[in-house]
This record gives sequence, structure tokens and C-alpha cells, in this order.
Amino acid sequence: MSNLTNYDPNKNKPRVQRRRYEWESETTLVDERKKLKNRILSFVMDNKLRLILLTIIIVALLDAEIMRGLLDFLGFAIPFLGRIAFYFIFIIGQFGLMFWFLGRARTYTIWPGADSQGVSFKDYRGQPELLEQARQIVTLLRGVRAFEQAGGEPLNGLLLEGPPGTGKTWLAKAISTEAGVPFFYIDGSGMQSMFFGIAPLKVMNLYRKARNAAKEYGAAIIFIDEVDSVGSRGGVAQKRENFEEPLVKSSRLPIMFGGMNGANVGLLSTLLVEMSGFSQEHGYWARKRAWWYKNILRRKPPKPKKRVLTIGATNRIQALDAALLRPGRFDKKIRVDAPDLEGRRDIFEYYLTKMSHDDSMDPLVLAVETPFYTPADIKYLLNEALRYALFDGRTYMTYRDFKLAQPEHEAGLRTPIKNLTREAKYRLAAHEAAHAIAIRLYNPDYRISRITIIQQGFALGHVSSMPATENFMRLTNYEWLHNRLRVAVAGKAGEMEFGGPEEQTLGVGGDFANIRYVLNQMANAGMFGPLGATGEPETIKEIREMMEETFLMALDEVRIALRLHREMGDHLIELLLEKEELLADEVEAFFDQYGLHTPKPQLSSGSNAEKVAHMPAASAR
Amino acid sequence: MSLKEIETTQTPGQFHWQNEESDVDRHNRPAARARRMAKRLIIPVIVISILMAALLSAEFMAWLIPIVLTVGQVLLLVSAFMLQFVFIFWFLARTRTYTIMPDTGAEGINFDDYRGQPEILEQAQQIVTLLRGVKAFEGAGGEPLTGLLLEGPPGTGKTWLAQAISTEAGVPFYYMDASGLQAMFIGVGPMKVMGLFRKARKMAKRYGASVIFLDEIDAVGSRGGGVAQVGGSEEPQDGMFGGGGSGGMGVLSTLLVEMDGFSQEHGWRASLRAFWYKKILRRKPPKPERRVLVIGATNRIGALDPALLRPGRFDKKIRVDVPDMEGRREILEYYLEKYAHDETLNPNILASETPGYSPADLKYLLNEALRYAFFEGRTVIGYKDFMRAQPEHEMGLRSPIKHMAPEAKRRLAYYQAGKAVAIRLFLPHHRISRITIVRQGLKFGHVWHYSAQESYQGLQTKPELLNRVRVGIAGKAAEIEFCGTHNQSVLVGEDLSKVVGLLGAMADAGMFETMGATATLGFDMTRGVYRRQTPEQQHAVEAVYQRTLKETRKALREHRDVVDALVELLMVHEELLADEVREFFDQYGLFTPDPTIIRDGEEYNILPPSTSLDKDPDGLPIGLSGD
Repeated sequence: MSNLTNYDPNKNKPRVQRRRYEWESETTLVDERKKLKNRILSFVMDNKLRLILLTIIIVALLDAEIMRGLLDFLGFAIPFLGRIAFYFIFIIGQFGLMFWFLGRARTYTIWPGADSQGVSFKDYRGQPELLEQARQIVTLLRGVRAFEQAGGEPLNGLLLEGPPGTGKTWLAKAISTEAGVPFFYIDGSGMQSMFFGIAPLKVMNLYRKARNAAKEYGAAIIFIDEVDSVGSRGGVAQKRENFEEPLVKSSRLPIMFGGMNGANVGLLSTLLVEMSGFSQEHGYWARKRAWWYKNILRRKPPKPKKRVLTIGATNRIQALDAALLRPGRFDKKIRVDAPDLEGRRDIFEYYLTKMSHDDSMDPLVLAVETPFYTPADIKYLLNEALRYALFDGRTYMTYRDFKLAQPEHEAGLRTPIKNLTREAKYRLAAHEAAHAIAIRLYNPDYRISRITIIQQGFALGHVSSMPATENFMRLTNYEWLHNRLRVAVAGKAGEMEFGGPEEQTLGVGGDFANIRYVLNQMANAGMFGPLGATGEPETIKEIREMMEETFLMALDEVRIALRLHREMGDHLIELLLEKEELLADEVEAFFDQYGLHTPKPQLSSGSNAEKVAHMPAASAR
Repeated sequence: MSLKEIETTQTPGQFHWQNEESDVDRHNRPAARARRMAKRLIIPVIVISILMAALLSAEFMAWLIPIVLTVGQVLLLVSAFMLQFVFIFWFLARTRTYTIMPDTGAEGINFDDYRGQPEILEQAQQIVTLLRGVKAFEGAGGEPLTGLLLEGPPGTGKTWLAQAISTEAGVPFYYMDASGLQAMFIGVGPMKVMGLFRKARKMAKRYGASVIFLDEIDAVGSRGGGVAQVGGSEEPQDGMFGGGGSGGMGVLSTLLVEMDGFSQEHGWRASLRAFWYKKILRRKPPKPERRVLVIGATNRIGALDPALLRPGRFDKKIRVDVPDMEGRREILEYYLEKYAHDETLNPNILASETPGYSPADLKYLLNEALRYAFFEGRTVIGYKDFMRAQPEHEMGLRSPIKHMAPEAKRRLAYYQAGKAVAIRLFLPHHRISRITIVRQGLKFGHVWHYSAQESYQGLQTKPELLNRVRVGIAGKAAEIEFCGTHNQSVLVGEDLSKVVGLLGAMADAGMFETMGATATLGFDMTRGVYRRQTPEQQHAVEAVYQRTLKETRKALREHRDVVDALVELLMVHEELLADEVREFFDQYGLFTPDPTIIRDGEEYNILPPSTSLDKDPDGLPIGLSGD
């Protein structure tokens, strides 16, 4: 075994014979320029104006006659030159002011200590992994010696991407509060401008401001909201699928002023340059500094401190220019997504501490019943529930208020149909009841939170159900997909079983669209035997027949099941016709009579799952 | 790892370096703070000391004054430069806003004027109450709404509702058409938005709240360019200068930012306020009051950017759809208070005869009816005026063909008569309000019928749907049956495409033998067919079509006498209205139902016993009073 200390790095290097050529000793053109004569010449040429002035002053000081003549000349020339200078300044000043006026970036600055945002990490709930990342970023942004001595550099750019409402701005606010450094907020569109060249100016101004602030406070944050509006890849917007339509409909002509694309490109490249921090190392002061270090201190200048963190937020990351996404610019990309069950529970807990409610509002139950909800959704929903409570004469909300607000948020306004014939209403009830029964029979781990035959939005009636615990594995399961088919087809089966084959309606459109989608997915996953990827007609035909058969079989199975549970079905329809809407506890109580028990919501399906102690009791309507 | 554990691992002091002073800490040392403070104060200190010196010493003052004057002149010049640009931008950024201030009498629409959709009204009332600021609600942790999106087809009263909301709230109302936010120059659009919000916030401070109404918000809020719109259904987002997508996008993001309320929490006033609360009062500053309600209206919600729809922006979405029969009755009653009319105009009947009408349609129709009345020398609207205005509104101008070949006319009459008879046979719960062979708009003739009570397509059963198919092909059946197979016309086009669409929907709902498991969904609105039906579905549709055609032909053959009589009548009078049609069919025992309304599953006749349609003394516009 070889020892690493004995390793000779030069051992295997090829020995390169350096050959010498005779012409190498000749002086090159560059060497000639370094001769003393040429040096003096170039010095004089570089400083000729200064030298002439110096000569004039020296001569004038020596000779009083010349001095007098010079003063006379100046007395005549200065006002004249002054006037010319004034006109120049006037013209240039106009432009300068115009550019200053246009180049003001619309930033909102939050200075540390002002604390007007008030959002801290304590207020960021639901996504602990994200929070930990943010904490680390903040710590390093504040400048940890140990980290930088170990060679690390604080983050340069952080891109938050994710669907709207998931709390990207909220996270950025929390980061700024926790870091205790100046925070510059700018909206991506605020950088666009009317004239060519103004937009880059805005970006440069912003970064200069941020750097000055960083010098004073140690670090600074720039938050660019909706960064896709500046950083979108050129040309993507024009890419279209439908070539039949004319690409250009607008009759506006791109006359003068740079235009959108030109201005945008300038904007983007300036942003790129500023973000990589290159611009810090040029300009008058940088030159002086470099000279100082080189000639006086005779050592390498230290690296300029890049303590400006740029945070970008976007919900269209695909539209961003690739140059923005590479390390050195937006180094780190964090996807902010809708929280999971545990996260939602945490968020509910957070908001419930701020809003008055009674103890029927169990955060876990609420979290189970709001799959894929974003924090913004949750906040809105609780606010709506409170509104319902208030107009019900209470100043605190209950589970029932929440259950009234939720479908309104999801489906739309509740608009009961007043003039529904008795038969139509029965048909509707049979349809929904059959769905509910199928869920209890085929999806026993689902909770039904609501069965209704009151029109809401476009839906004449609906059954909302969700798994009692989040378990992503089930999605791949053939049996689960099959059960989904059965539940979806149950509406039609109910119409046929409880009403008769003549009572079929067009109300199954949505269900059937679902079924076809699931069948298609199953076929694509090869669940019907052949994959059919080669497109052979016989194989395709076989798959199609299998799909048709699966569909019909599911319908028949559910019809038989409903026939077997006819009594329960009739009972449920009767109950629905009477009450029109059944909420979770009523549904649970109903099915308990028939031995079809509803599972309790729980956090994970493991053995030590945390069960909910009590279920909310909804008051009677 | 649970959240609790992560929190504990992150407490400071865990790692040796976490107790070290960070750069930011260093910049917060007293010395650094003092330096910052000095830097900030240096200019005021110099100015004040110069002023003090000037006050104390007259000589210094005399020296200072010319300098101050010179500087003042330069400043004046500079501000003159600036004013130029300020004016240009002010001019470009003027928003075309209509402002309605409370208590000026300019408003006028209130909730009493909003009819027909009680559920929406209730929501609006709640929103208004909370907008005015309910202490109990905010004490309980609630926040008033900041964004309300009204979406729905045109003419359903979105603007009307918004206006009513502002009147009831008693706060300033800013109306703005979103297309007015687009500007020729990039950057001006966002400026307009900011200006609008600034004004609204200022007014909100004075009046407690304000409302901004952005009409047709899809003009600015549509999904910007980029990969998001792969579907290719929206119009191209091009335009160099703020037109279309690019400038609109800037407007959109500014709108997003302004609605989020970020922009009101900045500036030196905000920091002063924060300082006051933090240092002097030592408690958290109260939340800034966001009492600007932004109401957006659109009829293309699908085109809106999802960022605009998320909570925090347009929190609440209300779909404003066409009213149901009850709603139409209320709306008609409301308008009939304003329009002079005689007692033949019964809101109940009008409501039952205008399914799918929006409030704007109803108002327009009454106005048109009044026009008809006026040019007949009356100043009140009668039922017959309404009946003349309605087809014109739906189909277009009435333009009789004067020189039609008798055979063609007869064939047309057979087509319409066959259809009318089929309606009486297969859809006995439908009322026929008009049979005509007078050309109106693009239609050479038509039979106007509707259900005697409101019905919902999603709840119609298979036999009922098949009956609708039979009625749809009855015209064709009559042509074949009575004029001969070789005498079919292409008139049937529209009727047939409706039938095909309906049959397609039925096949898709699995009503025929096949379930169509492999059918691809996609309803083609222009052709009225399902584009990708399975072959089995296509066969089933064809078979059902042939069967129903045969059945309809048979039924018409059995009622040949009725059809022939109706054709003779049509050849003479060209147009038969509701009561004439009713009288005619009564002779054959095919009775027309009265319009009814259903309450709690029970049917109620909505015709008051005293009013009958046949008792119109003036008769009807086109002959027939002798029958």
C-alpha cells in the first residue's frame, strides 16, 4: 500500500526540453518602447496639457510683463468661456436631469431597525427544510469569519421559485428582518423603462445604493420580485404552437426608443454584470485603490467584499435566461412549493393563534382537508370562515364556518337552485349518494368531508373526499387507480340503479372525463398488458378493447354493489333530499350505522401515528 | 426530523463560530452607529450652523445673501428642467379614470338597484360591511378584503355590482378601463397604476376606504409571454412598445405589487412611525390599514395570470352569471317600474320566455320594445312589442322575402310545421311562442319554443334528451315525409349540427352501448361535435340518429292532418304567435302548458287567473285576429 506522503507529484511528468532559438535574444517592439528615450517621450505626450500650463505659469511668475498680458487676456476670455461653459452645462444638465429622473429605480428600502415588515423566521411556518436553508444563508450573509477563512464565500444570489401564493415574498421579508441589514425591494417591471439605456442605469443605481449600504451595515439584500419580467429569455415569448395565427397583430410600429427587446437585453446583461460583482473592480476609485496597493503597499489588493445578496422571486423559472441561473449569479435555487400535511398543520396553528376560534377547529383535521393548499390559501380561507362567523352573529369561527367557506373558495358561489323538480332533485341526490357509498366501499382510507346537492359554482352537487393521511406511494398502485375508476363511475351507476336505466343524465361529463384520463394513464403505464408504444394496429386495438372492458366492468361492479346496498342508498338519498348537505360528522355518523367506519385523520401511516383525540362536532343546520 | 428538532438544532451557540461577532454585528457597534448618525446629520448641522451664524452676525448675513440668491437661481433653473419632464410624464401617465366621490349625488346605484341574484348580493353586502371597518371582525383577527374579481359573461352586471358596492360603502370609487392602463411607452403603464393606487390610498386615508374598479382586467392581467402560454389559445403577446404583452406585463407586475400592499410600508414616514412605536411606545406597530378594495371584472378568467388570482391579490372570485328565471323576473319588475307599459306585459311570462338572458339583454329588449311601441303611436310597451323586439335581438333584422317560389315557401312551411308538431308531440312541457316563415336575420323561418319551467341540461334524462333529438330532426323528417326524399333542403344545417352535438354528448356520457373509454375529450364549439369519438361511439350515434329519424317520420305521418292544416295556416299568415299556435293545437287535443315555476318540488302556475294572453284587444301585428 503506497503512502501518500511518499507521493512525488513530479514523478510521472514528462520532461519537456525547452528549445532556444537564435532570434529570441533580439529586442522586440515592446522592449524598444521601454527605452528611456521613448519613456520620456510618452510621458510628455501623456501630460502635454499639464506641461504647457505649467510652463505658462512659470514664465508668468518670472516676468511681470507677461503676467499682466496674461491677466488681461484672462479677464477677457473667462467670461466668454464661462458663457460657453454655461450653455454646455445647460444642455448636458438637461440630459443629466432627464436621465436622473428616468433612472430612478422604484425601490422600497427597509432599513434595519425600522422593523416595519415585522416578519421574522418565527412567522415562517410549514416548510422546515426551507427555513433551515434560509437560516444558514442569513447567518453566512452576516459575515462569519470562520467560514470566510475556510475559503467560503457568502451567497451571491438566491432564486425563489414556485407557484404563486407559496410565500416567496414572505420568506424574503423574513430573511431581511433576521439578517438585520438594509433591504431593497424592487419589482421586476419597475426596471423597465421607456428609453434605451435607462433600464441598465436603474440597475446600476440600485446596486450602487445597495453597495453603499452594505459598506455601512456590513451587508445588504436586493429583492427582485417577479424577476422573469426582466430576465426572460429573449424570443421565448414569440415561440408559438399555433402557426395558423399571424404572429404580429399589433399595428404599433417599433419607431425609435430602443423598443422592448433591445432595452430588455441591456437590462439583463447589466443585471448579470452587477450580480457577478465585476463592476466593483473598475472606475476611478478602484484604479486609485489598485495603485495604492501595488505601488505603496506592494501587495495584492484584498478581494472586494461582495456582501450584496440578490434574491429573485419568480413563478416562471423556465422563462428565465440560462445566464441568470448559472452559479455566480443566482447561485442557489430554492423551490418554494405548497406545504405538505405537517406543514399545513403548522401553518393552521400559526394563524389560529391570531384569529379567534372555538375548539372545534383542529389544525390537523383542517390540514387533512386542505390538500395542496398554499399558505396564502389557508390564510384567506380562515379569513373567509371568520366572515361567515361574523355574519352568523359570532366573533369566533367554528369548523362549520370553515366548511362553508372552503367550497366557496374551491368551486365558487353557493347558489341553490330554487326551481328544481322533485325528480331532478332525486336524480341529483342518487348520483351524489352513489359516489359517497363508493368512496366508503372502495376507498376506505378516505374521509368524506361533505356531500351536497346544493349548486356551487358550476357543480350542481358534489362529494368532497380526501385521504385521511398523506401517502404518496398509493399513486402508483393499480388497485388504487381501479378504485378511483369505481368511485368516478359510481355517479352513473347510482342514476341507473336508484332511478332506472332511463334516468341517465349528462351530469356525468366531469366524472367520465376523469375516468378517461385515468384509463389513459393506466394504458400508458402498461397496466393493460401491451404497451403499444410501437403503434401496431392490433396492439392498439387490444388496448382499446381492454380499456373499454375495464370501464364497463367497473360500471357493472359498482351497479351490483349499489344493488346490494340498496337500503343504505335509499336511506342516504332520503337524508340528502331532506338536508341537502351533509358535513363530515353527519356523513360519518350515517355510515357508522352500516358498519362502514371512517378513518381518523393522522399525520403518518406508521405505527406510532398521532391520532386525533376528538373530532369536531358541527352544530345542526 | 420534526420541526421542533430542527428549531432546537438551530439555536445560536451550537457551533463554536456562532458566538463570534459577524460583520453585520461589527457594523452595529456603537462607534459604527455613531459614524452613521454623524454622516446622516452632517448636512443639517452645517446648514443650521450657517443660519445661526448669519443670524448672529450682520456682516456674515450680508455676505451670505448673494450666495444664497445665486444658488437659488441655479436651483430654480434646475427645477425648471425637471418640471419639463414631470409635466411630460404627468401628461402621459394621466389615467383615464372616472372618480365618483361619496355624498356628491353622482352615485345613485345602490343595492336596491341590484336585482336578480340574491346570493351575490349577500356576498356584496358582507364585503361592504367589512370594508367599512368592523371592529369586532378585525379584533378577531380578520382582515377586510383587498381584491374581488367578478367574472362572468358580458352584460351580467359586473360593473353595476361594483358601482353598487361603492355607493353602499360610501367611499370614493375609481373606475378605470384596464385597456387605458396600456401605454405607448414602456414604463408609463406601471406609472399609471402607481398613480391610481396612490390616489386611492390618499382617499382611503381621508374617507376610511376606497374602491378601485378595473374593468376588463384581462387586458393587462393576461398571462405574459414566455413558456406559460404553450396552449397557444391566447392572442400573440408581441408589441414593441407596451402594446400587447410586453408593456402589459410591466403593468401586471406593478399591479401585483401594488395589490400586495408592499409599497405602502416604505419611505421615511414608515420608518419614523416604526421608530416611534419601537423606541418610544415599545410595542409592535399596528398593521397599516389596507382599505383599498380592488375590484376587477373580466369575462375571460382563463386568460388571467395565476399570480393575479392567488389569495393576497384577488382573494375572492365571484362568478356573475346570467340570472335564473326568478332573477329575471325581479330584474324585469325593476325595469318595468321605469318603463311605461300596459298590463299585458307580465314579468312572470317575460321571464319564462327569456332563458339565458343577461340583465343587459333584458334592459335592451325593453328599450327596443318601447321603440316599437313609439313608432306605432303608443307611449307604453305592450306584450306584442316585446314579442317583436325579441327575435330581432336574437336573430337580426326581419327581412321578408317578397319573391319566393310557392314550392320553396311550401317546403319551408312544412319544415317549420313539422318541427312545431314534433314539439307538441315529444316535448309536451314546452311552450311555442312563435312559428314563422318570415326571414329574420340569417334564418328563413323558425319555431320559437322553450320549456314551461326552467330546466337544467345536466339533469335531463335520456328519454328527454332523445326527444330533443327528435324535435331537432323533425324539420328534416317533415321535408322527407311530405315533400319527398328528393326535395330535402340544406336548411337543416344548424338544426342538425345541434343534434349531432347533443348525440355526441350523450355518447360521451355512456348512454349508448359503448362507454367510449378511449374517446378524447374536446368539444369543438364551432362545429358542435366531439372531435375524437371512438368508432363505436360514431356507430352508436349514427344508429340512434337513423332510429330517431324513422320514429319522427312515423309520428309525423300519423299526424299528417295536423301538419297539413298548420302548413295551410302558415302559407296564409306566414307567422303565428303564441296564442294562435295554442288555439290551433288545442283543436287537435295537443294542449300547451301554462308557464310554471317550481318551489320545493311543487309546480305553481305563474299566470295570474285574470291575465290571459288571448285577451289582447288590439290583436297581433300580422293578421289572424279573425281566427
